[in-house]
Amino acid sequence: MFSQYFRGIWRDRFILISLVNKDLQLKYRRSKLGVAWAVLMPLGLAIIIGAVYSVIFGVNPREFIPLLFAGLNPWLFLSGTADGGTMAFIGAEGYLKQTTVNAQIFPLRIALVNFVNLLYSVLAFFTVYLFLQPGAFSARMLLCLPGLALLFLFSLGLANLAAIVNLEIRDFQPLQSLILQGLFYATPIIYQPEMLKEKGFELVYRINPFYYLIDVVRTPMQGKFLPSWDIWLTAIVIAVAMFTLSVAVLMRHKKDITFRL
Amino acid sequence: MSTIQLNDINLVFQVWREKRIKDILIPGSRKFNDFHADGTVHALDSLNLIVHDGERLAVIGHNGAGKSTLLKLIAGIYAPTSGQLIVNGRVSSMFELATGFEMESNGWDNIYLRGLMLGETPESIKRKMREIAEFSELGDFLNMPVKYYSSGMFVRLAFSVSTTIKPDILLLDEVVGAGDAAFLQKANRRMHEMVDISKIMVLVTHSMDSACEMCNRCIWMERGKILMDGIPAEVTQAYLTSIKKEQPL
Repeated sequence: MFSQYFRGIWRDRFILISLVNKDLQLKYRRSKLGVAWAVLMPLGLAIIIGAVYSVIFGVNPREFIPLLFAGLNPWLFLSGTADGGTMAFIGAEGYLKQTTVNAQIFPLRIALVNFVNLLYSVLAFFTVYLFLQPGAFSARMLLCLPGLALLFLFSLGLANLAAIVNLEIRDFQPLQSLILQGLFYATPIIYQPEMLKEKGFELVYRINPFYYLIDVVRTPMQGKFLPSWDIWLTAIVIAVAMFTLSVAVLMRHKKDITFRL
Repeated sequence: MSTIQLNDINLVFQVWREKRIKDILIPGSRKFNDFHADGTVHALDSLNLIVHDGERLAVIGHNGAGKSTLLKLIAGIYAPTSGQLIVNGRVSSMFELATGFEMESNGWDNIYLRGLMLGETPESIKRKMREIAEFSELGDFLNMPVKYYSSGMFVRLAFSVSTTIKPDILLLDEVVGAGDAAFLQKANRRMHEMVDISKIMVLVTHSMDSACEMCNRCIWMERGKILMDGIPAEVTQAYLTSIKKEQPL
């Protein structure tokens, strides 16, 4: 099952590359700022939320904005990939019904396009961070790379599942975006985990898989600490389990896809 | 050596049908529904068919007889519900119109992408780009996003790609209908050439003339079964006779 999944991707690698390139070009065509939006979007959000928080809760924006920015980047990638995944097969109907292109490349296409955007905004983060807290730069930051890899694996799994489930039940797309919206507030992104801990709601993020995957990216990026071993391990287990499950489901239903479009 | 072999192939579509509150409250509100009680359509019914090298098969029959489904099954797009399908050889196909294009991309990019999807490598399709472009006669339109194309232009593009890549097995579905008269002639000529290049051609058509002119074998399908199999002149004649019987005018 797995070898079939990867062999199919390898066979259609040129199609995949060509589609991803096209998506990236189209995404910013006719926009004046172009690819800068990949940077401005999370940065703007971080500044808005940071400004609100510093007024209402009196937090120090200099400290809080990098924290927000670091957490929003992986979150936007994750939710964008899951959301785009719902339309992965539906949007590729023409290809799937005309040719024998391997269906598994379409959720991967969504994940790759979003991942390139994530990389842009990670670079933007480091640029901004260099001005705000130059002292925090350290070799620890390199550990965001394995973190990014885990996040990618997990999000690709979400996209695979969303693509398949949405074929069967079209209600899945609005349902999923509602759940993601809820999880956005349940995951310590726009506030610090300690805030939940103090109020006795530690469990809310402890049982939340998204927390671990975002933490293995965000904490190394800030260069001050590293996530503890249990967080790394949990993230690895969750990412691998999600990906494995999604590939199993996808390959099992692969030949039904054209019938469902 | 190319072959297509279908052994006792069945293909059942599970048609969308949900129980709605109305159906439960008002019995009989569904009487206009033609599907089987379980919401399935038996598109191909225990089909047996062998096509050998050198055969150009025309498939004729009413709308909904299963012709296009048969073609998509051979192409590997629909998997059979039961039965065995053996296809030897490289397949190139062209089905419904104007699908499978990147609407925002221009003609060149779409030729490239479509070529890849039909099994070309980046190098081999790049080599054939010029030939495809020339055959399509789209000229400067190729630099334009295809969302501005007319249906005839899509046909030109798709047909040019599908036939330039020189497959072993060529599957065509009613394709040239939307092209203009000049392109139709050209496409017909190309299909005649293809007969020499590709080893097998399957053509779904409603034009009895094309069936007789282009093919050396013809099957007549009805409700997912093969009603008649023989030389085009005889099969098309029988088909036309049956239509006349149905409509005595």
